[in-house]
Amino acid sequence: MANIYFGGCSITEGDGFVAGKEDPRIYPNLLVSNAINDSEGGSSNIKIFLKAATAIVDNLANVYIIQWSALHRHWIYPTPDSGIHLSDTKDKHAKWYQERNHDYGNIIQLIQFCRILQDLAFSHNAKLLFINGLVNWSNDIEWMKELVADASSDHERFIENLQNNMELIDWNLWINPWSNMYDTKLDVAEDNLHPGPLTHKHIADQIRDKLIA
Amino acid sequence: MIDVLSYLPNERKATVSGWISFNGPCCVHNGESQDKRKRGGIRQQDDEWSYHCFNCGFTASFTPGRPVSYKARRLLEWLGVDSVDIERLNLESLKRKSLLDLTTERNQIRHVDADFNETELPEGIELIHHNDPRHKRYAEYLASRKIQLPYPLLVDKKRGPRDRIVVPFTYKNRIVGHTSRYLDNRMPKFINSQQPGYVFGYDLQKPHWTSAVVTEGIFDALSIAGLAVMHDTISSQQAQLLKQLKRKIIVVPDQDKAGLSIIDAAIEHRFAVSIPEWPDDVKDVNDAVVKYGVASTLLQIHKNAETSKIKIEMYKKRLQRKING
Repeated sequence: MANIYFGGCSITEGDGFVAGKEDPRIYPNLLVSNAINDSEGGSSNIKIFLKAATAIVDNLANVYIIQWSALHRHWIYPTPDSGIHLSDTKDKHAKWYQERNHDYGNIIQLIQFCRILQDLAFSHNAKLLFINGLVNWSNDIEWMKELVADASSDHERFIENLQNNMELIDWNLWINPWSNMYDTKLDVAEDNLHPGPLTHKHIADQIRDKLIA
Repeated sequence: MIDVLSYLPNERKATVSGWISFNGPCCVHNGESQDKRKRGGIRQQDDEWSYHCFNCGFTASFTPGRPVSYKARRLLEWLGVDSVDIERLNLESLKRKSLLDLTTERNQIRHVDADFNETELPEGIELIHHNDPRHKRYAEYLASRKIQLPYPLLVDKKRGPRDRIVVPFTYKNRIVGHTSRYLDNRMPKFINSQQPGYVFGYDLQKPHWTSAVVTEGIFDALSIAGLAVMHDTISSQQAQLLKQLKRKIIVVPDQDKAGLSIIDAAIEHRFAVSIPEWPDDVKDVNDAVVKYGVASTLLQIHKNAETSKIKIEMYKKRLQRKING
């Protein structure tokens, strides 16, 4: 039997659904009976990447479906058992971090995560698919210039760097590269925030189509 | 024939669409700098292959039955294929020429686009609405069979002598027939209004898909966006319609006695056959979708798809032993 691993943040975890990860209406459960759902609410992309990379190295599954989260999310751990979520702008540390860490680096970092996972999956003879959960980027370079317009840096150099790096991504592995699940949200879940059953169904259909193609 | 893939550098990437990309060996011979971004791509199907470099724009291809072109020769040389082997490939290819011409000619004669007459659906039926309490029974039945595809399924407005779900048959978005699936456990379970040569699910296939899964039953097809021949064999007209899709056709037989004959038909029409090793309680694609989910089932089907006649016959014997207990 084919084992399928799902990584991601609260969307894939089924936040907003009564039964959470066990809810039959979330996309991992619409696709597989015994999904390995390793997603966790609030996950940053680095956390998603590290968990997925470890899973591939451990040969946990034959197929890995990775849903990327918001670019600016980050966690720090001042003590072993407590983490601070640095996307919460009410926190003074978070505010400091957000001001000093622009999406410049986060975008390039995400591209590197994708490249590493692509190569890891290929060398472990596994299938890999990416879902844009909350990534706020575009293939329109003018739009990307707007995204980073506030940062005081060399935009042209960034865009060139971005274009060069983006060429290294296998876009065939992506379900919805340029429109994240909030852009294409068809409905909301019970918490009135997270994507609802129709949106999950839509994503499941797209993954099924990708597996046929 | 030369296995061109065995001459590619070790550092390469395969895409889902079947392309293998690697550092193109052509660029330095075409006035460009050495490719370091794996911009050379090759795609092979059986003995046929085509190459495209997205750096210097060099293209080359090879089709058995045709001479090895100048550009294909150059590419093979750059990949390190010995000139004696290239010459041997050319000779072997030309030997196939006469056979290939004959087959092409025959295919041209046989290639006639299928068409079907437009028909009416039975009177007094309506679409199943999942939120309509009158349709709860049908919605539950479809959910129990994991039918998630947004396909228009219908029921009688006033319940007739036998409770049924009506599945319309479409071809190029026109109604060309239908089947009734009776839910009362009496025989027959299905009554079809099917035109000769019709295959269910043709309209479900998307243009960019590179393969199509063919099943026996309509609910098997509905559960994976596949096709159904609705019989335990594949007629010549149905085979012609499937070939019209111009993609890899994978036939998945039911794992029972009737399934054995569709394997023979698939071999005859040179389709791939997939016989995943399912447990005894999984007899067909729909059972597998219910047990494992649609993604797992599709992966198992693709993983087990086999085109070699000898191997298919071997798997058929294995299935036969399993059926006979």
